Amino acid sequence: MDAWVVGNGAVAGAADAARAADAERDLVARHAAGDGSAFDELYARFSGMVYQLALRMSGGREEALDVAQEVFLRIHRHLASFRGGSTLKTWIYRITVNQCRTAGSRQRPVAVSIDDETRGPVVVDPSAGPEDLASRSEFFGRVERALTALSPEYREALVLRDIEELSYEEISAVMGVPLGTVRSRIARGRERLRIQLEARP
Amino acid sequence: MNRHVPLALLSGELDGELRPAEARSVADHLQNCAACRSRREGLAAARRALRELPRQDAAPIGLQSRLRVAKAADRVATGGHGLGWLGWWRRLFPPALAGAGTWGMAVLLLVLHSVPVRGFDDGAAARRRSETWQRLERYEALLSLDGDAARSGRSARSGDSAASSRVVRSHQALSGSARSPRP
Repeated sequence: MDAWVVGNGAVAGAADAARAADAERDLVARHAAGDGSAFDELYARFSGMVYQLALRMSGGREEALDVAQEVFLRIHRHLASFRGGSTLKTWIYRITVNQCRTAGSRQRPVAVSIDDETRGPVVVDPSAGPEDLASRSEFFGRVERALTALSPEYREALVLRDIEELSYEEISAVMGVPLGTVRSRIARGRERLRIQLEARP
Repeated sequence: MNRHVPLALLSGELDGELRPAEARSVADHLQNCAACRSRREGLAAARRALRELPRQDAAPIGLQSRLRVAKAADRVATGGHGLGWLGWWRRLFPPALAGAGTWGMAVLLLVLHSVPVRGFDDGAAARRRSETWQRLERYEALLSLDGDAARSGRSARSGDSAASSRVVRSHQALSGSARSPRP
């Protein structure tokens, strides 16, 4: 029974993947043909993802906006040459990570706190009291500072895994490193994050 | 698994990214090892902390307007080709033409570098040779050893051996050791 469920699920997954690939090919073809709505669709689908990744990687709103703008400019220029060697999502993640690396090599990431007004809207639990909110806000600030203090390769791996929730295989494709390296970077990144969180109450 | 579980396996187990055999082995070890359980709990807390961070589900509205301006500027810079300054350059010089031009320029530079230098050297050497022969001819004419040759100058370039013999005779004439009677 389990085997039947697994097998059936795999077939359904493959069918979904094929449909998604067709939709992406169609989007790329429309963009190449000069259909402006194709890029608008792509922006609507991926802008939140790109901005969040840029924000977590760079650590500041202005830096994240710069990165996201450059990422979408690159997508606009090169989307017509996308050949479908990976999914569009992986391709866009890769561009974003590369752009974050380029931006990061020009300046050190800035740690931001949850109280920073430049961060944008934060989703909070409406049932939480003021003390809870203050305490959680302080905790989030500590986590963000600890994250931005990590070296870029660990930060990349952790953000892609624990915030973007990519699989190890997807992270390997995005970062351009073997699966074993992904596993090792996530583990070491978590260990360093744990040490920092425990060291700074 | 008697030794402690490696960090990468503890972390991978939290993500469900271990092979089935690895996962079984780690689970067995954790049941009997408090140190590994504690370490795993620390990693799990770090993982949870990141996952609880507030999400940014949408990009700020400002990004779209910034992007619109940047795209317009990009179109102006590239002439709509989307290649940046390279596109502008390529439209001025098509790749084939630019390639041929580069090779042509390289060949021309080589020729200019080699030919004039050789020509200059040849010319200077020829001038030096000519001046030498002219001096020798004037010398002969002065000594009246070969009046005809000295006047016409045509035998001056007839051959090194003849020239050498004339020089020897000139020196002999000067020294007076072998002066021959005129015919």
